[in-house]
Amino acid sequence: MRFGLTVTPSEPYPVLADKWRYFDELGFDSLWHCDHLLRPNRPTDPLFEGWTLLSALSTQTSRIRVGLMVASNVLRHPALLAQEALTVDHVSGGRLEVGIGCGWFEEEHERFGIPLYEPPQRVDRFEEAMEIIDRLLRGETVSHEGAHYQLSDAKLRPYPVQWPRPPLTLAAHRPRMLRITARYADRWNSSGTPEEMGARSRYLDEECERIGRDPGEIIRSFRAGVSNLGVRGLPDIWSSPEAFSEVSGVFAEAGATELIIDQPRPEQYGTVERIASGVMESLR
Amino acid sequence: MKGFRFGIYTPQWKPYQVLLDNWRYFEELGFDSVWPCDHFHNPGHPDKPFFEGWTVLAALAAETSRIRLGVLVSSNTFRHPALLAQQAITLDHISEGRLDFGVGAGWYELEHEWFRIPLYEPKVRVDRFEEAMEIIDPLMRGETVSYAGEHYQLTEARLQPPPVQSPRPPFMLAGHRPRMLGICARFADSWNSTGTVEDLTKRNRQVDEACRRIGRDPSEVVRSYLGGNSTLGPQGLPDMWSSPDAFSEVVGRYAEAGVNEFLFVEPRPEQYKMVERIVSRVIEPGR
Repeated sequence: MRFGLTVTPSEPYPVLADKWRYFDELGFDSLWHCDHLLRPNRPTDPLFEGWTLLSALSTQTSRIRVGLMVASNVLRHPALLAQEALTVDHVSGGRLEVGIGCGWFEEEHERFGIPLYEPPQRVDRFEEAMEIIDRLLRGETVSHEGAHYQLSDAKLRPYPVQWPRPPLTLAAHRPRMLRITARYADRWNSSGTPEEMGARSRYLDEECERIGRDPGEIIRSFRAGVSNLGVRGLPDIWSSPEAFSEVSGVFAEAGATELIIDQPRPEQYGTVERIASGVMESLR
Repeated sequence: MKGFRFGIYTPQWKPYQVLLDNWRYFEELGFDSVWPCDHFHNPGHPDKPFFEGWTVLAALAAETSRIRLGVLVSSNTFRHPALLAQQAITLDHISEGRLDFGVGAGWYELEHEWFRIPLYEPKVRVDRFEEAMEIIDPLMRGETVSYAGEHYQLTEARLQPPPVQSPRPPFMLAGHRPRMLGICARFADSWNSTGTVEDLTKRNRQVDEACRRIGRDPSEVVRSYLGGNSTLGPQGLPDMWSSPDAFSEVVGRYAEAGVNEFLFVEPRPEQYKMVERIVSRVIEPGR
């Protein structure tokens, strides 16, 4: 198992930088934040822009891997996203995870007048974007005549630090997005109950087999936090090493090979340090 | 050389660590500002490495402490104005209030053709730019914005947090022709252009006139010039990094055109010794 944390980019920058350095030192595998114009559920809260903040915070860490969970494909042209990604891969010395999804948060699109598109077209666009991003990040010269994007002999330089490109994390919950995930993802991320996650993970296995890909190549990355732990009668994962072990076990049984956990509250840091140096090591 | 600001334009084609070393060097030397640009590749060098402007700026901001910084200039054609405003606010926080917000309408055709990102014909491009400025300005002031434009529509939209600088980071608008200069007069704290002494003299007067037309004091707008050998040489002017006298000559000629901020293309490493002499003999005595 691997263990990563999400840190909502709503606090003052020096506080975020302190947290990122702290979690880096504790030995977690990865750090992530979201990509929105408005904070979901709390739209009047502060929220920094995802890629620029990620680039800055990556300079404050030295070992841990970093990424957006996940960049919304509807906020930027895929070529711009790819250029941002290869830039952060260089800034971070090859520690970037490229997280991307098709977009979902209606309120920010309504308020800012940015098209979100109906689900079928949104996923069409995402599928085209993934093909473009995958190839641009590999340094290929891309010509693409899609319904939504067109490129003519286009390439980006430099090549990324990681070879053949930074790993791609796709957020997907439903069958069509899972099929796209089977094609492009190094890591699949989703959120739900252990039962839901198990069903999706099996569907991903089948899709991989159908296209001739080894399902074991894809990291199964499950979100664990307030949105899905409480509703299942599972304990707060940061409340004790036993709770951490229990939650990890339940998700591992459902197929998880990685947990991405909501950051602990500062008053839990003592317990977090015990977890990081004890049970987390033994579950790896 | 009193009353002038001096910045360095560092297009982001070097390896990140070299770029960072260069920035720290210019910061230590006491330059006022450093600037990457915003393109998919270095204009004229499509096969060479080139980092994305805002993310590389964010990293460099996190690793410097005093020098002001900005994108020279961000192309309005690449991002929705709200995303651009959110990036700028984020940079202002990362840098603890050192951002100068540079923006222009977009101009480099080849990158738009490669990625088929619409550049639009000039009239529509400038229409979009003007609407974008009408959105970015209040968004960066923390206002709630409703806007029914031809190109952008917002409904009670607000970005949080507000920037560090109050009421917002200074705006540097790049413009060369009369209609863009009119938009600069409305929104710019600093107006940036490039060209010959003659070009800058003429545009400078046009900015003055545009300010007066809308009842703005023309002296509020900084007159910023982006210069390098490609425009200096053909006018018979020397490489500004070749000697203190050459630097003074270039600054003096453009100062006559009304320029009071100089953003020069970065010197080559073999010129650094001379740059240090220029700083101590010309720039520092003017402070």
